[in-house]
Amino acid sequence: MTALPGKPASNSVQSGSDQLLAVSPGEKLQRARQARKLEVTEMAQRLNLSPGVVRALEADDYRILPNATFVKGYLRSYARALEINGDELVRAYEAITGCSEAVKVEPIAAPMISDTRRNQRKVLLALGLLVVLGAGLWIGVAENDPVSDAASVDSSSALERETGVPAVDPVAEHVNPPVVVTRSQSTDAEVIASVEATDEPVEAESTTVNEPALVPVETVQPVTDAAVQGTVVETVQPVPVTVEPVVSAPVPVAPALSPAAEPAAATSPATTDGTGLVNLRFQGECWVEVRDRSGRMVFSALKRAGEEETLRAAIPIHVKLGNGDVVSVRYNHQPVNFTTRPDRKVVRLTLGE
Amino acid sequence: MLKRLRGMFSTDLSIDLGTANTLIYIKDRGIVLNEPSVVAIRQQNGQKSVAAVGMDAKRMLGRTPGNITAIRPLKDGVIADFHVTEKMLQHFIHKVHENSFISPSPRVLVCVPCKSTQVERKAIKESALGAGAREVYLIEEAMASAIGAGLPVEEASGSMVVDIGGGTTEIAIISLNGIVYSDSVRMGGDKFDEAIVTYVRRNYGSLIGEATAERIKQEIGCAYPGRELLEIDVRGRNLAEGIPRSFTLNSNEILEALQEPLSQIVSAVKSALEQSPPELASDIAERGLVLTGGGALLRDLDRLLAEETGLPVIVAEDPLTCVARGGGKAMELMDKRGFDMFSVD
Repeated sequence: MTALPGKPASNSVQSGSDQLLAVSPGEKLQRARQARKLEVTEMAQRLNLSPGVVRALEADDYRILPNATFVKGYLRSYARALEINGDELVRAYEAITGCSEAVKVEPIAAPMISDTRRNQRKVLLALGLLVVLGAGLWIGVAENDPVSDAASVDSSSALERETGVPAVDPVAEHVNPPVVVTRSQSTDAEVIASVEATDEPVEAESTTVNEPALVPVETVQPVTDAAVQGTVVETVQPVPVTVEPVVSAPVPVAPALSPAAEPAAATSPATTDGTGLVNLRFQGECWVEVRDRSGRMVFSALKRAGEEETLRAAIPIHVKLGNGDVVSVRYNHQPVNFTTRPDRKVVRLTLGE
Repeated sequence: MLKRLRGMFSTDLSIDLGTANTLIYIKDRGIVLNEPSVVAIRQQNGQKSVAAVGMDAKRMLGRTPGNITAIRPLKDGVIADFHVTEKMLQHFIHKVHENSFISPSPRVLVCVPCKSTQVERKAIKESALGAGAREVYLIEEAMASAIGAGLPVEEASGSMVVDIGGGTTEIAIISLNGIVYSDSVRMGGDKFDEAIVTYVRRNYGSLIGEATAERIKQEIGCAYPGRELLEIDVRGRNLAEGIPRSFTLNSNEILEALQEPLSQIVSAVKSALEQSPPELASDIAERGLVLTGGGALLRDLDRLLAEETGLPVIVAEDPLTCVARGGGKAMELMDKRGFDMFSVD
């Protein structure tokens, strides 16, 4: 015999229980039996139970009875023998003992289930991390791709040089590169000075243009990135007019810049507001996509031989060319060198990084 | 490896792969599937494909055109058609993982008759693996039904369970988480239906289908003469005239029809009691035996067995789902204490 844990003793019906417990199952059975003038022994014989079990059922003394499965069965059999509703008795019994089938269904391993779920969550988290790492690696590999590498190196080197090469196209005419560098850096310094003394920006600009060839390299002061950007603006501006008039022509802003009254920083092709000027010349058919810093598509078209496109966008500018062999790219009037592989004509450039 | 990955997105299942019905229990969720073990196969251009499974297929039983065959892939509790069983299991496993975006690969516990042969068990195991299960454990139906019925199987006292399924009746005496005695007779709900079909043909000269016989059994079938007489109107094809005829059957007639299969169950139970060790027999005599399975729902079957054995006979709560629920509980116990606890090979 097993006793149900926490089972109340006979007639210990809780006061808070509902109407079902107004008359306990045992009491109901006892009354029904007595109404039919049946003895306990007679009833026990009919049910194949011992008289002790019948008495315990009638007294609601479940401690001496086997577990709930059996007690419910006995109650149903007893109720059927007396032609009363057995389900009601079972519900009353469940209310007293608190052992319902719903509780019995999953009694065993609740903590273990939560452990399993926690483990699953951990595994999922690890998987997520792996995916992120994998994506990072993939992007890294893609960036190390020779084509894009060359392009990015070229563009970044172009960016480094851009400050000091206003009029020089290394392909078209190699005009004393060392001087160019010197001049650019010196102009940077000059521009910083001119920005600080904002009274006469135009004059400052004119000095920077005149001076570069004269200032030796040793005298060049270190210049910050911001200053470099500023200087690009200052020094490049005269170039379109002098060396490459064709390039500057399509840019609507450029002509307006020439008046000396305008502040140089605001009017130059590459301004301090974080934008850059890209010029694309097509010697053959090629599709092109240009995106700005935010990834927004600035320009997308299929261009034919002889066509040209100049546009300004927030740096870094991402340029994608369908056939790199037939396009010459200039960034802030500075040619951008890149190579294409025989098996891969598509070129991705990042300008102004 | 891939199965393990898919397994992380699957839940452990306890499957009662029954001759008549297949039930699936998931811990925390309870019984999630209860469908007839029937598959409708369509044959087109020499190729076979599954037309319907479960309830939809059962509606087709006996009503199919030439190119569709509705079959029950299990017979007498074991696999009769391996490939169709595999397809059916695959369908059910996917059905209970409907929300999963990855093909499920759960751990599965399947209940098998205790007298099934090695070959039959192997077939069930392979079938479940073929249906996408990651790991398959087998447990004897009687043990699962005892756990599902809430019997104190872990105690050092005898508990007797009689599980009357569609194809077999499992009888077992259990103590200390093990089966002391078990027997399986190929007698169950299907045989009850067959007996009703035979009775109607013999006494009314009419032919009725198995589905009709099952309806008669469920509505007016009884195992012990009761006070009230129940009746049902039935239509069947008259064998002499060849046209459908309507007639009325009552519960006493069905009781008479079921005498033969019922007596086999009674004798199997008596045989089990005879062979049980005296200490366990004493426990059983004191507490009684428990009926589970769909057959336990036959009206007054407990009274018949109580009358025949002189023991208290109890019908378990929700007897139809005892095996699946017990399998689920067993799986949880096995998770805790090791998988050699209940599982059989």
